[in-house]
Amino acid sequence: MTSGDVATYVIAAVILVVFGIGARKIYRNFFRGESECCGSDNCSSCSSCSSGHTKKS
Amino acid sequence: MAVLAVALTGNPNTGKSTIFNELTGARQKIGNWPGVTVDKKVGYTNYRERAISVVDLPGTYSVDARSPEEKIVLDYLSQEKPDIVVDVVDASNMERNLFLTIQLLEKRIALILDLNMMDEAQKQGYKINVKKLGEMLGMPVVETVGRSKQSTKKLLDVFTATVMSDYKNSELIELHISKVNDILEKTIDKEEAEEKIIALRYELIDQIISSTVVRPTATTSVSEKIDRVLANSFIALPLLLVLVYAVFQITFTWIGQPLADGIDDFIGDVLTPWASDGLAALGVADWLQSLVVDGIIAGVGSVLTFVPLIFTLFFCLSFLDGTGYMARVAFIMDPIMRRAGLSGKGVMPLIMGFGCGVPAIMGAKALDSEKDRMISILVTPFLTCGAKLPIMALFAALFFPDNAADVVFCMYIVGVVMAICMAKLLNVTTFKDEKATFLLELPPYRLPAMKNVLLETWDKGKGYLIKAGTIIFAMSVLIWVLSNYNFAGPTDDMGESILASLGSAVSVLFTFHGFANWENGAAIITGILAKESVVSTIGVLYGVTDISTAKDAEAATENAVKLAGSMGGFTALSALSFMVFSQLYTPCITALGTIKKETGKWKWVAFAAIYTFVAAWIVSLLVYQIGSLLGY
Amino acid sequence: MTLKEAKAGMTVKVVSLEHSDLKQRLMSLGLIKGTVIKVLRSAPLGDPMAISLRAYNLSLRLADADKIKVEVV
Repeated sequence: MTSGDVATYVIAAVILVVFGIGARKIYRNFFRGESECCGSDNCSSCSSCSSGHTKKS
Repeated sequence: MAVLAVALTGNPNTGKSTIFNELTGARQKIGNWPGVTVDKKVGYTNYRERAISVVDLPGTYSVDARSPEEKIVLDYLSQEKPDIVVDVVDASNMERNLFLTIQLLEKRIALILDLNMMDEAQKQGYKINVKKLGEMLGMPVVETVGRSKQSTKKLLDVFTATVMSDYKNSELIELHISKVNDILEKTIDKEEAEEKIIALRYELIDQIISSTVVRPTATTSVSEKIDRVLANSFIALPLLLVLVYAVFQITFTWIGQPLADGIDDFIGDVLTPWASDGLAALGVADWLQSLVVDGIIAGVGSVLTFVPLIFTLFFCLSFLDGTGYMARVAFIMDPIMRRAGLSGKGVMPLIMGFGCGVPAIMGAKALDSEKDRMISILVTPFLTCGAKLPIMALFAALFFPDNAADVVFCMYIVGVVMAICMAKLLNVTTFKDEKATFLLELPPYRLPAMKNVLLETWDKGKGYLIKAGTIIFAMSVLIWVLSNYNFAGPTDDMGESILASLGSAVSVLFTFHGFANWENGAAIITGILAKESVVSTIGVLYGVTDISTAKDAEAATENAVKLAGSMGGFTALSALSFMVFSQLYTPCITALGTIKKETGKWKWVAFAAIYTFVAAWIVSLLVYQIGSLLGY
Repeated sequence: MTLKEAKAGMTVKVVSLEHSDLKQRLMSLGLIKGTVIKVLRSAPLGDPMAISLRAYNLSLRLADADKIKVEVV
């Protein structure tokens, strides 16, 4: 393999991973209505992002 | 030691959330109270080796279980029995704030009273005998200034040092409670009883206040003076328009655009050549080079150029919101909203829609009636959200270089007008006539803490960045693949790619709109996944590199030529028509998903998707055809 | 007269509240018999109106204000 091939595989792999993250986001956004600001305090658009249970028990 | 459970309660507009933020910082989560769509905010912190959990209960004026929020507060406090309950009170507004306090005391919920916003009260001239207040109520009283670190520390000291069982109701309160019970027993009519009790509570409050608070002499407050200008009958509306227009100028002409130009230049002149040269030097395969440069950098880059615009806009809106002006907007806009079939309170969620439709759709739950909520949800997609902004900015810059900001402003107006018209239409056709209530507190004007405004701006804007790095990234890759391949393998002519086929199928619908070609069809399809994709798709497919405007007239013309180039390509008029269509058509999947969540029914999702498309199709067609008839 | 008829700048006192869906809410917010209200203004198109009471400002619709009987102070 030439170094060019290696570079190609590496970069392609990275792209594939980021692509996956993006695709997963699309899925989440649609089916669960989550939006990018989930997890911050000024976002009112998350009903089901995460529910921190405050129970004492 | 066990985790110390703290709950924050109190009226709205008391700075409770600021205190929550100061206590918990970044360590908070927002979830959902089971069974209802009300945000549940929980955060954590540590102090003196104790782990502390803080729940920010929804702000309520009372706990009569008349609304979901009130029920939540009551249920939480009586069932969960947190170790410490803090009642956050606006020190310059104690009378009404104490109503909730008294109610909670009646239910024998032990409280710590937090007199917040003490700095403002003092500035106004209030003098409060804190010690006596504590004695009369039978509880610890803490004075705080929401945003200060010292106050936060003071609160934490109190939390860790206080044992609530040491305190019990004062005699005064016990006397009150027995009077209340008396009324409950002797009065047969429940409503009459309730009203007598309310009157009794205020009697008690008057008694307490007169013994502990010295009110300033009644001079006109600063807020009142401001309101005389901003909310007065004659100039309120024009002034609102001026303010909104000013926000636009700031965003597009003065600050946002120049920054956008900078990023654009960087991407075009620095990043792209660096990447191409770099990849070539590494000996990376040709297809990958093309994917990275023509696909990813072109696609994501075109969206990133608009980041400054988005952040500037969010900053302006956050700032205005923090001043309390937004409540005045609801006040001013109520009659207009009502004529359109919405409530003035619906203005605030809709204004959020100018940032992102998703929170706006969820904000609709604050509205009082089912009808109000549904209509608000269904018309929110017509507004120009942050993601649509790049589309408007791009086309305006290329085809209307001399009045770009004005054209974009017009697009915002188009969205608003459509929303109003459709609301009216929905009101008359689909939904029965129901009454809606309108009671709105007008908080005093405040100069918002820059820290809070910046944090909020960042929170709202970072979503855009994250989207760019993930969804748009994925979309750009996908588009590149679909536009460079067809079922026979790689193709040199994009016009024969898979994407071209999909795009042409869709573009048939736009034969009379002036922009029917496969590239635009493809852009429209991708725009349903994320509105920014319209721009990134166009960026990739037309090879438009230098997106921003005034700086390089040559590049702008070149791009305009490219966009006008292919068959069915753009003229100024068809660009306008396309802008109108993009403005109004089917919302992005995130918004559609949110609609499903808020309404619970796929039928509304389908309705929203289809009717917006139809409306957009009709209006943009009219724009093009009428424009042509007028000779443009 | 009713609160609806009170003009901007007037100071009035609540005499009684007619029965309505909003009645209890208004009372909880401090609008009870004897409460002093200062009428601040009405919105540009006449509705809703803004009033000042018990150290804060509230806006309510004329239709609802019409159900509150007041007397000038």
